[in-house]
Amino acid sequence: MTLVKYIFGLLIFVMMLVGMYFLAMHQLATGYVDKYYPKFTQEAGSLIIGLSRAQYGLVPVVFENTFPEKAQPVVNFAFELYQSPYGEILFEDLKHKIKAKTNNGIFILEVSPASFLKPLKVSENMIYDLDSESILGKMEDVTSHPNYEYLRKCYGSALYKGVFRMKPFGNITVHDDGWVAFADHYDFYKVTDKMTQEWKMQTLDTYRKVVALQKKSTSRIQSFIKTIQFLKDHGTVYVVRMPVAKEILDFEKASWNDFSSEMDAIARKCQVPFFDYSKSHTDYKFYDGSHLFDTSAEIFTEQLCSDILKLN
Amino acid sequence: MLFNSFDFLWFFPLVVIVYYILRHQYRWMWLLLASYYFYFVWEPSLVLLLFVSTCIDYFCSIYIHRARSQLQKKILLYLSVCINLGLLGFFKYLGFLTETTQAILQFFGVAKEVSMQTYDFDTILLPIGISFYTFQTISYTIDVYRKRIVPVTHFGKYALYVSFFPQLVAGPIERAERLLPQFDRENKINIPNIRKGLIMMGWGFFLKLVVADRLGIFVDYVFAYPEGHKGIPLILGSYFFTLQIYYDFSAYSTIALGIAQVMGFTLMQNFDRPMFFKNMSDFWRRWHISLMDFLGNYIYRPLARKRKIPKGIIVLFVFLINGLWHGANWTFVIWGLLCGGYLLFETWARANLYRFTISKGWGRISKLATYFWWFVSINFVAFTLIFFRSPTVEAALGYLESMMVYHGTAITDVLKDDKELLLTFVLVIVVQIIHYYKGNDRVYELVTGRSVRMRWVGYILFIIALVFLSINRQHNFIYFQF
Repeated sequence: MTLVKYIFGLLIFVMMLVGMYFLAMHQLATGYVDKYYPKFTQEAGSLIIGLSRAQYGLVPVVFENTFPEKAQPVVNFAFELYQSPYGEILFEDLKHKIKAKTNNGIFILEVSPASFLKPLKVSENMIYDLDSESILGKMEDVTSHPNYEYLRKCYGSALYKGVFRMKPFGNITVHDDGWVAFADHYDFYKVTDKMTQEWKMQTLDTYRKVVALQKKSTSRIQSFIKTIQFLKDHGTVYVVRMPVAKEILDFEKASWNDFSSEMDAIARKCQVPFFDYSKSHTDYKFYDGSHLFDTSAEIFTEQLCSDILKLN
Repeated sequence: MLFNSFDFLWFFPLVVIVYYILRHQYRWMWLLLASYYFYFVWEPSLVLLLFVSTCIDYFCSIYIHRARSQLQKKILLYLSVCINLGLLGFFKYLGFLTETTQAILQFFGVAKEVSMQTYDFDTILLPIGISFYTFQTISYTIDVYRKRIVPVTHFGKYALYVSFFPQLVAGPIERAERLLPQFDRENKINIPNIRKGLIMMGWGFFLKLVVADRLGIFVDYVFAYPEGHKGIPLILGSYFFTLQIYYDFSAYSTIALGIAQVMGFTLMQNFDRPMFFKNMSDFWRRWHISLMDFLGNYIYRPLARKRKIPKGIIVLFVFLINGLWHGANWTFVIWGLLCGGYLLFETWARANLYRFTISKGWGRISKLATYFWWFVSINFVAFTLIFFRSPTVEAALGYLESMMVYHGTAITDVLKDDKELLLTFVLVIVVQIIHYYKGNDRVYELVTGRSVRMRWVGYILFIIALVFLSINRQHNFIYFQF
C-alpha cells in the first residue's frame, strides 16, 4: 500500500469520526441535555440566583406573570451545592448572562449558609481556583443555543442519549427557563412520606459532613455584596432565605446561628429588601427537608411575589 | 496535556508528521521539544523540576562510570538516589510526613497537638508523573552503578529518555537499556506498524472513554456517599472500581504504546491480562509490570540476596513501598500491606493445600483449587481497592460498614438509569472476551489481516461506538495523580 493511499484512508476515517461527532453533538444540543443546560441557552432580563433550594423552589414564569413590566425573560440561574456559591466566578458569569442595557430587571438572590462556605483546606485567595472547577467556572458562553461549549465541558454522559431523545429521570421536569421541578409522583411511582423522611435524614447527614469540612468565607460575603451592587444597576434586587424543614433549620442554626441577622445586615447596608421564610416549615412540602416539591414551589413563588408587591 | 483532550488531537498528528519529515539526526530534538511542551502545558514551572532531575542523574551516572573506587561510585549513587527521593519526598510526602510525625510526637506526649495537617501543604503543587520519572531515573543510575549499562553521553537523548511524552506522566517505567538504544535507530515509515499503533491507540481510547469512565460514574456515586447506597451497590462498586482502575490505567499504557509504535518505538507492556491470573503472585506479574519490575529488581532482590531478613518481611516492605508510591496517605499504606500480607498468606496456604491434596491422591481437587484461589483473590483485590479509592481510612471503614448491610438499596437506585447499567455490564463482558483472546497488546489482530471491506466495517463500528458511547467527562487518567 502506498503512503498516499494510506493517508487518504486515514483522512476519510478522521473526517467520518469528526463529522459523526458533530452530528451527534448537534442532535443532543437541540433536545434534552440535562437539568443545567437550559440555564446556559439564553440571555436573561431577570434572574434567580442561589443554590439548589432556588433551583427547585423559585418558578420564573410566576415572576414573569406577576411582573410583566420587568425585563424578561426571567431565568432560574441557580445550581446546586458547590456549583454556584457566591464568588467572583458567579459574578463574572452574571455580567455575560444579563441582556445588555437591562435596567428594570428583577433579581432574586437566594441565600443559605452553603452559599458562603469554603473548604477548610482552601484559603480565601484560592477560592477563585476552586470555583473555576465548577460548571460556572468552566463556562464562558452562558447564553447560546445550541450551546456546544456546555456539551464539550460540562455534559457528563454519552451522546447516544441525544439520538434517543432521553428525558430526565421520573418525577423531575426541566423547564426551558431553568426551573427544575420535582413532582411527588410519576406514572405509578409516588413519593411517600416515609421516603421524604428518609431523604431528609440523608440530607441532614450530608449537611453534617459538609459542615465538618467547611467554614464561612469572608471573600464569598464580599462577592455577594459586590453582586448585589452590580445587579442594582440593572434593576431591583431581593435577598431571600427559602423555607426549609424544622430539622434542617435547627441544624443550620446550630452551625451558623446568626445567619439570618447577618444577611439582614448586609441587605440593609446594600439597601435591598431581605425576606426570611426559613421558619415557614409547615406552609410548604419538601421532598427532602430542604427542597420544595413543584406545587409548593409555585405556591411559595406566588407568596414571594405577593410580598414583593406589598413592599412596593 | 491529556491524551483524551482536544489539544492532543492537533498535537499528536503534528508531532508524528514533523518527526517523519525530519532527518534522523534531528528527530531527537523534535521529540524532546514535543515532550517538554507536552509537560509544559500542565504547569510551566514543573518543567524546571524535570530538567533538574534529568541533569542530576545524567551527571551522577557519568561520574559513577568514571569513578575509580567503589566508595566513590557508592557515594555518587547515594547522592543521586537521595536527591531524587528528596525531591519526590518534598513534593509528594512532606505534608503526610509532617502530620504523621506530629501525631507520633503527640502520642508520646512530646507535642501538644497536630498543628499541621496534610492539606496545609496543598499549596505545594504535586508535579504530574513525578513518581514515574523519578523511578525511571533512579533505575538508570543504579543500572550504571551495577555496570548493566554504560551511561549515555548525549545529554539530549538522555533528556528524551526521561521525558519521552508517551510514557512521561504515567509510565510504563522504562529501563534505559530498552528505550535509549531505540533513539539511535532510524525509524522509517512503516505502514503496518503505524496501523498497529493507531489501532492500539483507538483501543486505548475506547477502554478509557467508553468503559473506564462509564464504570467511574457508578464508582463516583457510591464512594461519594456510601451511607446512601448500602449493601449490594457498594459490593458492586468495589468490583466496578477494580475494573475501572484496570481499564483506565491499561488504557493509558495502551495509548502510550500505540503512540510510540506509530513513531517506530517499542515500549514495554504494562499489563498482561491481569484478570486472568492463576494466583496472587501471577497477578502481580501481570499488573503494572514496569513498577513491579522496578520493585523486584531494585528493592526485593537486593534485600533478599544480601540481607538476612526473613522473606516475608521483605515482601511486606516491598508492598509498603508499592502502596506509598501510589500516594501519601494511610489508605495506600494499608492497601500495600494488605496486598503483601495476602500474597504471603496465599503462597503459604496454596503450597500446603497442594501438598495435602497430592498426599491424599486428590489431584483433581488441586485443579479446582486454581479456580477457588482466583475467586478468593479477585474478591480480596476488590476489597483492598476500597482503601485505595477512599480518601481516608475512616471513609474506607465507613464504606465497608455500609457494604455489610444485608437489606441495602437496590443497584438500580444508584444511577437511576437501568440502560446505562446494563450497557456497562455488556461492555465489561465484551472487553473481557477481547482481553481473553488478544489482550491489549495484540488487539490489532482483530483488524489486521482482514479484507479491506471488513476492516472498514470494523472502523465504522469503532467510530459509532466511540462517538455515541463515550462518556464525555474529560477526566484525568487515575494514575496521573501518582
